[in-house]
Amino acid sequence: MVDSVNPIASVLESARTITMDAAAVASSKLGESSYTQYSKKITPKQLRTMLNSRNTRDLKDAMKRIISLMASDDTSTDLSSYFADVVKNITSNDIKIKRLICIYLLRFAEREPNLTLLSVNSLQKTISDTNPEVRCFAIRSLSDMKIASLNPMILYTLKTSVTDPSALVRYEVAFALLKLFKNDEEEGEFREEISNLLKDLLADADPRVISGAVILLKECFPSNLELLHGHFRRYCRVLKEIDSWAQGPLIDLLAKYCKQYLPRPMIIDCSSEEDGSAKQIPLPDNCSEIPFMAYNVSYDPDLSLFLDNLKTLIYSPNPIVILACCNAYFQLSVPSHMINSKFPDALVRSYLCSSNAGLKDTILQSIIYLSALEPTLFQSHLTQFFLSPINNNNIGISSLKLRILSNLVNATNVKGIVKELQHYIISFNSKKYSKIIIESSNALAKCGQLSTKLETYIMNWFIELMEDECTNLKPSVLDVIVNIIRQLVQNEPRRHLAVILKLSNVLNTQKTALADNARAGIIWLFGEIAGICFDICPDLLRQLIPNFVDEGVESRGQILLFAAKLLSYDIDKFKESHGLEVEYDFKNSRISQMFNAVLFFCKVDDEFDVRDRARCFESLFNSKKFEIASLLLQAPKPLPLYYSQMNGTRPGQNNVNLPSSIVGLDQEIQNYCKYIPWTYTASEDNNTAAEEGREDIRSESPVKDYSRYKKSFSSSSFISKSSSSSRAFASSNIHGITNGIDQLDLKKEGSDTITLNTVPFNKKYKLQSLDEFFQDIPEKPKPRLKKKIIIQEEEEEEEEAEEDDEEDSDESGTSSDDGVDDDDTDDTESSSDEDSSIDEELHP
Amino acid sequence: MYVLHNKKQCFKEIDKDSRKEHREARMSIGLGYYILDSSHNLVFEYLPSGESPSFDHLSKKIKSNYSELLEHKGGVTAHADGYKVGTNLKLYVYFSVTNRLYYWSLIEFKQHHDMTAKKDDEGKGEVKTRVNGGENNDGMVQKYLLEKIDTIILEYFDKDTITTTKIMNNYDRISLIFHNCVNGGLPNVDYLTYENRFKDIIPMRTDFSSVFNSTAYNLQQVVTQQHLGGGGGSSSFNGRHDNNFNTTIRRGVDDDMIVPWRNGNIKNAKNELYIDMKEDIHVNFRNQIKNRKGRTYDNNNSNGIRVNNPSCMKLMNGYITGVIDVRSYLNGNPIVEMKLNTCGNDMGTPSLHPCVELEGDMNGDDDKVMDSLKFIPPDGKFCLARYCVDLNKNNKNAVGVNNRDIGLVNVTFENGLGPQRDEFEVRLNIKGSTMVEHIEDLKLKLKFVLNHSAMSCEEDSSTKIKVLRTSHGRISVVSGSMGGDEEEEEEERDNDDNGDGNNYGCRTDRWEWIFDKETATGSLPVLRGCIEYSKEYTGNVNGGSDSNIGSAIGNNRVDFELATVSMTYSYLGQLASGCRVIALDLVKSNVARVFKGVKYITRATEYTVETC
Repeated sequence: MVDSVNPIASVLESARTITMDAAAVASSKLGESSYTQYSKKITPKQLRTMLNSRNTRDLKDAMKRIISLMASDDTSTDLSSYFADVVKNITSNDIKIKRLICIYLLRFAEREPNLTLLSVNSLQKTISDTNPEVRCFAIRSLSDMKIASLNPMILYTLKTSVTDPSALVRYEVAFALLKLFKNDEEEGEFREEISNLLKDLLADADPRVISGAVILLKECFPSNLELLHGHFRRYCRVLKEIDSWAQGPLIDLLAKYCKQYLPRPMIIDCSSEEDGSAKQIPLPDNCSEIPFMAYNVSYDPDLSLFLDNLKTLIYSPNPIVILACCNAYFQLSVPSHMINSKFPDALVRSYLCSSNAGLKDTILQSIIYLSALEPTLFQSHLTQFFLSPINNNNIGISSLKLRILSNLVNATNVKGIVKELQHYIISFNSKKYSKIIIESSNALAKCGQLSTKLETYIMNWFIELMEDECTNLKPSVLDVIVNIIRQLVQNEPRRHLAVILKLSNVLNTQKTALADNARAGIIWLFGEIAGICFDICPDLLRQLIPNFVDEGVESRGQILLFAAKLLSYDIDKFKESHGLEVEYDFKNSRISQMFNAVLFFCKVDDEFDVRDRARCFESLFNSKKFEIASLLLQAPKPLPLYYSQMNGTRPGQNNVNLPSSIVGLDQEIQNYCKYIPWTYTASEDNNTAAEEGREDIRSESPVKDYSRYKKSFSSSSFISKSSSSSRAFASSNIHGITNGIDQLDLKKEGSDTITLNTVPFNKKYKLQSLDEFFQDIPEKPKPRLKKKIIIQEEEEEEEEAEEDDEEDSDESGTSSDDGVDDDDTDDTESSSDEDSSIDEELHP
Repeated sequence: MYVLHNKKQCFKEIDKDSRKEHREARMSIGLGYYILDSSHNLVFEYLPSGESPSFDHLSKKIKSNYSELLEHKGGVTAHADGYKVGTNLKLYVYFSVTNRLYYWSLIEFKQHHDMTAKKDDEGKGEVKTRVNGGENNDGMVQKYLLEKIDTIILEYFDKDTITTTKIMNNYDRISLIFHNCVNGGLPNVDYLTYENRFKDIIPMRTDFSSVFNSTAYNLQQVVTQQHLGGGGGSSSFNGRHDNNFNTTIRRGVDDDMIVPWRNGNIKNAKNELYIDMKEDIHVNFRNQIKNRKGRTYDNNNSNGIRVNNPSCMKLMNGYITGVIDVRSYLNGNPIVEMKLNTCGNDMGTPSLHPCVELEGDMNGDDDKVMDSLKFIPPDGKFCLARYCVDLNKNNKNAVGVNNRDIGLVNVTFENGLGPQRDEFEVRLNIKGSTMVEHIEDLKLKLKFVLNHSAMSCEEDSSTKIKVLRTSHGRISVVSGSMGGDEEEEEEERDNDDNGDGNNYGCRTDRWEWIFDKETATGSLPVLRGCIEYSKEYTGNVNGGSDSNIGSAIGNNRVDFELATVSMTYSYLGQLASGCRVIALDLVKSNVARVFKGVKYITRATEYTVETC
């Protein structure tokens, strides 16, 4: 066998070489690079001739050239000048040329609306093509033209196409409506009609169409959640079959829907007594407010249907879906259930497995958000957020990780985290990484909030770090560290006296090494401490004066301020003890003398800012306006913003004041994950209870199943038949499919043994006349009867499309359609038709 | 047309009244998509609107506002918010690591009035508070879209990497791909999940030559395969070309499809199925030897061999990410069943291609999911699964992984050796393996830092690293001039930190120990070097001659020491987690013979050992 093939192969091989050579010489069209070279040689004049050529190949070459010019941002040729030549080729039979023309039109149609209209007729004809892909293309290209005068025509076309037998086409209709909505934004004239068509699309049975409809709903009518009433349960069940790009938006919409139309889950206390009188409360907005040690959660059946079906998406490769699921659980459930759902794990996985830096960033931000509100969620992944000593070029990501670490700190892991953070501060000590150090320091400060002991330990560690010369912290880092110390001290100065004393040591011993701003910060801090612990301050000032000239600018300014503050405090103290009338003795007061010494230095300072301040303080005290001085100098300073951030509301205490750790996150993430309040109020609940007989709003509305139009196996039939449970087939079903495949392969048409689809396949799509159709009736009377109506309507539509003038007939088409659909649901959705009885059972 | 205009006008008036009740909603529309090479030159642009700015225009704006974006040369940028380039314009950037290409997408945000549930509002006579939250996360969508387009292009051309020339030669195809990925400025949902549609809509080159080529090639393949028994799945050739000469559309996607990701009636000349399993190791160890207090130095031990003591290594954080890529060129609609031995590793919650059929109860045991995967493969290349093994909480009885030595190569190092305690030693232990012949591209980066006990030192010290002994490979300095002596290089200062006056803590000089292309497994490479201080430097600091150093411990001693060793390598034939494919079966395939191949690749991308 091998031997027999061999010679043929070699013959072919040599033939190939010969042909290739010949062809290369002839047209140099073989191989992409040589083709490109050839293409580049086409002159603008040639291009025009080629566009007008009747030869498809020439035309194609010309179009390719135009696309290349567009794609390479080549401005040497004015492409818009070819408009007429390009557009007239829309009549070409080659679909690729048509598609290329459409790409051209996307960019230039707006400039030449009148010429563009020339192509419309031809495109409209293609809408009745037998190939669904071509029909898709026609709808796509028509709706891409942003010409206002075309909109009514497009809408009309879409109205007819919305009942197209092919799901692809109906999907395209959804997107075309979206574009129509977008173009029509100013006027809003089609809004009503678009939403009517949307209702049809939402009721579609094909997951593909639902995907498109969901995008349309989400983009154009995000608040019209009532449109989901009749589909909520069905969507929950088919969630997995929806396209993964539409799953995210759909989950978002459904979660919002749950908040708006479903009652809160009830928390049932199961910790105390076992007898039937277990307490139960509705789920509070903040899960940490749940008063019970152990509890069960009882969900509304619809809510639990939604949450259970989310679990089927746990293996989704799409991070958007995973995040949407996380968010939905976060919004609707309790943390323990969310952890059990494993979505936090999946979120971390999608972070770790991604090589997309931007995406990683977004995922980390959302983890920050979620962990800030509920630290337990990511506790088990703690070590994943440790930094690696290399690959820290992406500082943004590293600092996000540190923020997560600081969110995850708790009593059990704090030791390890503190150690780790200290390691980072020491090992990342370079200018490039100063942001990492700053974040680590902040995280460390947050660790300190866990206990007083830790707080002292961390402050001491920071001071040691500052004292340790060889670490050579960068000024910006020092600034942050001083700030952190300041925050910790300012919060409860009395407790930290030891630390304060140490700081004064730092000031004295590290005369040169410490950066100016850090010294200035410390001096400022002492000025603040003076109000609480005055005694240590004058001595410190005394020690600072001799070296005043060696200090940096900022420090000099701060020493002046410090001196002024001390003087002001001293005066106040004096007045308190001696009464207001007694004059403060400026001459003999030590502090006043020191203040004057500082003033003396300052008046001759290089920096005019220091000189100005000196004059200001001098006049303040000389004019004896001590009240103003104390107002000015002793004003209680608010805790720095940063501190209030850290100390802010406890996670999720209420939804208006979000915890601090969220500050600074991408606004989009914040909006995305923001807690949606439950708007389904108790009163409504009571109402529902009162009018028991009222119809369930979520009773399933009829589904429009177009699969009967189909003449072959299709994705939708495959999925919808293969049970509602998971993505596709259970193991028993796999054989069924395999059977199906075998049948398909063997081309046994319409065999009864095919379990998946009773409709004969492999028949070409074509219209049947009524007579033809009735010949088939005896086999299966009932569904066929329905089919009859559909086909009739099909015919109507086809005629309409061709004749293009019977305007309102599609209305009747739709109505007859509805009638059919009602019947359809009998077969497909067993529970849907006689809703009221069944749905009462479903509804609590 | 005239009538229509009139009609429009009257709608306008009606609408004006009702507008007050509308609420704002945001819509994001893709305005332009750009592909750039790693030095930010335009390779391709797709501008779906007349308003789209050309790259020229855009880059000027970027240059003035976000010059840092253009400074990254082939680097990774992350800017979660995107770059705001106009009042309603944002630019999102994705860097494709495999292709070294930047993808930019320019998004316009449009506010529109959302027609809300008017009935609700009217009914209650009060305006509901606007439902906040749950808003679009467009940024994420855009970033993922760009990533997806990158993979779509790869999968469409069936390549491992895509070059700029390939893009330039296929402007029309890439334009069509973008045209189909983005519809009306939004991700074209239906087209993005399953790449097979692209091959339908945009037929592959089917001129005479390629038909001829493929036929000859296929025949040749058959012949060579029979001789060689096949290779490791390195072929990137897709034999599936249409055999019709005209490039009209093949057939509606609707027809003959049994699953949405696979076209019906695929006829592949070759019947092949390849599984590529790739694992990346990310681990970070702390070497705890140095941490011991009161360390003693044995002067006589300068040449003695020390035993690697892995118990001193503490795993700080570590995980293995794994990808299972499949190339399938099979006939008909086969069901493939892949059985995997996970070696007791906890694979977490993997992500699976939608084609994977999950058996049994969804809420059941997650750990078993990866043991057996059943799927109808899409045609061509696709990513079957991604998983992540968390080494910190990995199952103790995992067979494949001992947390102390992950992968085949182990590294330890020690400072303060030799008579003058200025020597260091890096030891590698490359385990023997029957499956792996050699380690490829083994490279170690050594990072020295100034010891913290140093008090003060002068600038411009000409400290040198001298290599005393290497068993394998060579040493070179990472940055700066690569020429000169291979074994000994002048140390270079980190330029970033000049002018701060704080140079000492940031000597981030990196030295590389580069191995040959292939290093045999089962060897024990050793690097011994010493840090030489120049005369004046040592003099300044130690205030004495070199002989003083020994006694100078704890005093003003300056020492550089090896602080971090990071390692990169790859090898074929085995996975770090120890996972293996046990069986790869085609269920109910009517094909007699299918060529199947499995390839394992392990890469260490982030393997570091640092001192505590």
